[in-house]
Amino acid sequence: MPKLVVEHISKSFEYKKILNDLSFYVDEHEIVSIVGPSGVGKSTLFNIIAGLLDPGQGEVYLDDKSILNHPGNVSYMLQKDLLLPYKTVEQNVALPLLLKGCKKKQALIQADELLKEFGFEMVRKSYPDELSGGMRQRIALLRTYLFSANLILLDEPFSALDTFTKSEIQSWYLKIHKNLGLTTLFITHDIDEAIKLSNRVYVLKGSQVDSFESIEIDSGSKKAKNFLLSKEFLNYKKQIINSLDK
Amino acid sequence: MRKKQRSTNINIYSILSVVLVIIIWQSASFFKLVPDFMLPSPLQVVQAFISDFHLLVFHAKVTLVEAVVGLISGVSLGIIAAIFMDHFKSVKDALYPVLVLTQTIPTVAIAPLLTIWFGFGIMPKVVLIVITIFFPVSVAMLNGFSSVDADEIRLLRSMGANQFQIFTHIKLPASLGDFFSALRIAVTYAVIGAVISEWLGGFVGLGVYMTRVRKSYDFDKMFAVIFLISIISLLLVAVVNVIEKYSMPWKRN
Repeated sequence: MPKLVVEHISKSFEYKKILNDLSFYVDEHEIVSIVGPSGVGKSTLFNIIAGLLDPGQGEVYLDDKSILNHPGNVSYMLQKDLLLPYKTVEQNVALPLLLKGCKKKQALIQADELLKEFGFEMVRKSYPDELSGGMRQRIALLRTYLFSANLILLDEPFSALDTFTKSEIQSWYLKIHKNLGLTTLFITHDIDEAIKLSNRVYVLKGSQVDSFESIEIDSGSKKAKNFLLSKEFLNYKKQIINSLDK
Repeated sequence: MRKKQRSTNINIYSILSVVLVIIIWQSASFFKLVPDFMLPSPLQVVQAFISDFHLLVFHAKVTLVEAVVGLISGVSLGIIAAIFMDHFKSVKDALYPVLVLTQTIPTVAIAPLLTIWFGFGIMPKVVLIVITIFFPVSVAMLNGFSSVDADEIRLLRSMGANQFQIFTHIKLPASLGDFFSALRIAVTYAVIGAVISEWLGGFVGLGVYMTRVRKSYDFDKMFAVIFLISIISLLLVAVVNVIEKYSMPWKRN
């Protein structure tokens, strides 16, 4: 059963069509990526799904309910970790619970439990400024998770990190995605990252009208050693680059 | 540990320079470079301070109460105005020019008028202080509110936060730095405002006492008052610094 269904979304800014009749879906427990060059409206699409932006046309369904213009249903995370500098790590993680009206004490207990589960209990009283980029991004992910495990929207969350931290955090994310049973919609302009993380990849080009087909990444081949250097990986990459050029 | 040492170093240098000024001043009086009735020596000032201590404390209490009441009203009004200006653009457009205008009014000119309108009590002093500190506080707060990262607000909105929650979780803590810079200025303005206001109309307070000793050419006593006013301002600024340190723990490291 699809978790998220996006139907015929169009959006224009000042006579310029950004998104044109876009439809796609995300199944439960899937990681689906949307790849595309900058400026094709990936972030606009995310703002629409998050309920922050009104598209001119179309519908967005989460679990068969329309969430158009209704913020507060899906979790949302950007390239910037956006951990609030004036709150400690545990206060940051507890923030979504507080916003939902949870008692402060209860929210902190829940945040602490989650931090402990992921081995961050030693930094829970630290301020974000004292942490490394990779660490901050992971904590921001935990905050995103604590807001809602329903559907997680990630807008290039790892693109500001260096290669080593990035690859480490990608593996970490795959692990928690599986363990926590998440559903993720992922925006990136990094094709390698999309292939590595996703079950399916959508390629978004400038104002397309024609089909918006996904490329299925076979999870069996991902298990192979050195998948990132394998022929299958290169084939997927070729396929994505070809559909970008079309 | 390291931080503590650094701040002591700064204190040592500033103490040294103050001591140097006092030594030069004392020797100028000692060698009769300046006559006593024009510039009393630091020693004479200290003597005047001790002999007049009870009187000074009595007047200082009045001035302090005026300054604190004026400060609290001015700061609260400034913050409220900033919240409204941040929330409604039309309010900002309407209010901002008026605020700038209040800054151009010469305090010395308006203080006697305030005395005529509000009498010789605490009221005209408080009003004068409010007029002086309202502008710096509201402008600093407005600046703080609008310096918030738009992405942080978008994130909180995506989590379903309402305007009040966005205010308390982001805007308020983000503008605390600006708030305390403004408060430091406001504190010194408040003390000076109270003194000037007493000067131009009143029965008690350091300003009144100052006019009295000036008219009787007791310059040693006058310097004692001036130092007391400086000390009060410095102490209030120190209090603000301590509060700032405790209310912004994320800036401590």
